Amino acid sequence: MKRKRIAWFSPLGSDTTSPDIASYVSRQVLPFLRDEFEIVLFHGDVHPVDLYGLEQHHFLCAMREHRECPFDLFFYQVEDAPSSYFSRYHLGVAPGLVLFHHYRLLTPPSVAMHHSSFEPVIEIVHERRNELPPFMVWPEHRGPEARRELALAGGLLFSQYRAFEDYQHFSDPRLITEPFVSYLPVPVTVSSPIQSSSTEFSSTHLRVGMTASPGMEGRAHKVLGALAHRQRVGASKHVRLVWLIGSDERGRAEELIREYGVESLVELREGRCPERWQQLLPEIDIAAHLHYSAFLSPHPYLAISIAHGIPVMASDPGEAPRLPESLTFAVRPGEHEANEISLILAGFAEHRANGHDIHAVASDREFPLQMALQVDGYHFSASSVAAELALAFEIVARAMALLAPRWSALRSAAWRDIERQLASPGFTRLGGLAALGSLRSRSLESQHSEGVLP
Amino acid sequence: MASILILGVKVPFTRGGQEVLVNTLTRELKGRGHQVDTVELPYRIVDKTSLLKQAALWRSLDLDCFSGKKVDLVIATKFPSYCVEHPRKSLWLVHQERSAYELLGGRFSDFSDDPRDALIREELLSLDTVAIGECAYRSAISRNVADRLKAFNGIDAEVLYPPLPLGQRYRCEPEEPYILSVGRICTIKRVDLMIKALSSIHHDIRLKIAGLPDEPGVMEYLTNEVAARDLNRRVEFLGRVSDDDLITLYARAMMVYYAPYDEDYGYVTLEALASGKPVITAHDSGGTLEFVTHHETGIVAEPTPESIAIQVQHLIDNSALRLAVGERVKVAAASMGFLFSGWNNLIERLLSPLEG
Repeated sequence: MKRKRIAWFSPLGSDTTSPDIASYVSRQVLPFLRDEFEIVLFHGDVHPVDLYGLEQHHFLCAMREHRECPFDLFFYQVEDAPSSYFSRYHLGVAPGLVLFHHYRLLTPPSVAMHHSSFEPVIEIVHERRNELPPFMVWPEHRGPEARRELALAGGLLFSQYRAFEDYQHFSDPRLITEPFVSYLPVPVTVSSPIQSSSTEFSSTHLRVGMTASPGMEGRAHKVLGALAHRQRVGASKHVRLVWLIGSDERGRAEELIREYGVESLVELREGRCPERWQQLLPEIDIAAHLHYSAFLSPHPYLAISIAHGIPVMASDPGEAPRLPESLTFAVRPGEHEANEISLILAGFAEHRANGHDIHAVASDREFPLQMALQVDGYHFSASSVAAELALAFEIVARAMALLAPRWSALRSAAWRDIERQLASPGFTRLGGLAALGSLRSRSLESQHSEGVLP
Repeated sequence: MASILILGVKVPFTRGGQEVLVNTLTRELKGRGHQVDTVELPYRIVDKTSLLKQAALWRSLDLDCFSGKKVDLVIATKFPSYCVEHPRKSLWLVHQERSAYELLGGRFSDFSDDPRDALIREELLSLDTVAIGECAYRSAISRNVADRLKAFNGIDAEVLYPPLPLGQRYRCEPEEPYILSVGRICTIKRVDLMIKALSSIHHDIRLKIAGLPDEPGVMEYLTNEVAARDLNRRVEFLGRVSDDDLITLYARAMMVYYAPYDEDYGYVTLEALASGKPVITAHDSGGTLEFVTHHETGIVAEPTPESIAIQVQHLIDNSALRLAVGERVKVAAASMGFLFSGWNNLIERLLSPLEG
């Protein structure tokens, strides 16, 4: 049977350690999918890296490639980062399956996209409207939600369960009236024996790891506040924080550390990305993955820590209620947050001082650690996530095939509108588009009667 | 000697690197005995369909001969001049229609996801691929521009860096406590980052900004930023300056700020290096990064005021590092032979279709 041809949109970055979630997910799952599907990568970089030897092009070439050899499905990943701009743009040109890593987007890609005319486009596709809106008259943008992307997606996957739940309340008109929707967790490949097999504190210090940005949402200031408290009460001697930061965050991070006076307790490491965090795990005893905001999230770092059996501190409300209880220390955001963190660290320190293992602290719960990790191993494994994604490809490709004639009609109507606008007397006297002569390698009819989708 | 037309694209009442490039190429070709003239059509984009109209306008030109004199060669520089039809067409690519290419989907492009925008963009890509493919010789002003052409249109181009417009006149003098910014004042040049960074840099350091605005609202925005940070005594907008004054400004600057978004080439970078001055740029500044290496020939910061401020202050505070960087800048500039004497090779390549 002929393999389905997938246009896979993802940043590839200038090396294999880019911090965005999309490229990390691509690196994790593509090895499991490349035999089953014919995958062509589309990226936004002039200098991409090779990824498993797969054919790749700049995303500007996607429609040309599609005309030459049609794709069965376009696949996009959307997150709140500039690296996602090109995917967000193109899912409005060739709709397909979209994996959302964030539900609310603080970073609009451009003024024009921010005021996208996706709503009239959807109305035309559903034959509730005949004409496109006036050119360059932009409707008002509403809300931080990725309304445009959510509405245009032909099928939706969410890597955050909270986002999946939020989508159940999304009531705007959609390109596909009842699209395929599912939760798809961030994939993790456990690369070395999980932490539970090495249960002793392997250094004299209690090592805390953190991947938060210096901003308020990552609660880094609360973790530093907890360290400052440990320092004040004379209990910081054997506590160290390893803080993995982004390459542009050193200044703000150092300022924050100085503010809390914990310079001697914190080690900064630059180059935050999922693989780097995974490499760091053998060096830490407990991870702080606090997050209290409607924007962004502590994933995929939280998923990586859990999958490796690292005890974590997580926020409640937040991610904590959904995590394995045996590994999770819930921290309530607010005025007592730093104190709660301090107490958790004190508990770990006491266990270390008494010669107990790391997971004796974490496993003082009802469910045994191993059972929790087995369940999470199923959810987070890259092979399982890839299998779920493959299923989504099959389902959504069928849905998009049904949409194809209407989308093709929309593009034909759009080209007729362009011709009308070009029909000024001056341009007509010049010869109109015919003046382009041999530059136009295809006739109007053949180029613009082709659909976007098969 | 040949009869050559240089094809330029002009936005009236503005002046930038494109105009400098066309003027200096004209001068150098004439200096070598060729008969040279320029064809410059005004570039005005009212809406996206204007892009197709402009391409058709250039395509409709007949540049074969004038007053009985055959045009031996045309040299195209940027969109849509390379759409012209001529049996001997050479390309020295400055850039394509950037909003439809590398800027697409980001904050510096006004192309939306409207299906009409998408179709026009796809049409442009097809037209460009054919028009540029017609060129008997293809080159680009930088590695950045050549790589874009390869990535977007699948076309290879040789890199021919433009030599400095003022030749050997650049000089280095003892520094005065100011950072210099040179160039068109518009959003993509990101002068605002340096203004915002300045308030975190030692109060003795000033910022001098040479150049004219060519974007509505940008001066109001920048002057508001200056006022909001109480920097009126430290920031000076110089407007357009003469070549002599520009050379002096470079010569006496402590550093030169040039951190646009994904620049094509950046004369300013090379002018700064030729003046012995380190360049402050950003990791996403494109063509400038072909010449600026962090703590070798300048600073490569994150494109944020905080990062720029930290890096600049670090260089100011560390006199040993600053001296070392200054020496490395001079060595680097001396090794870049093309800066002052690259015209012979460049012209030989551009004129290579005449050999056929």
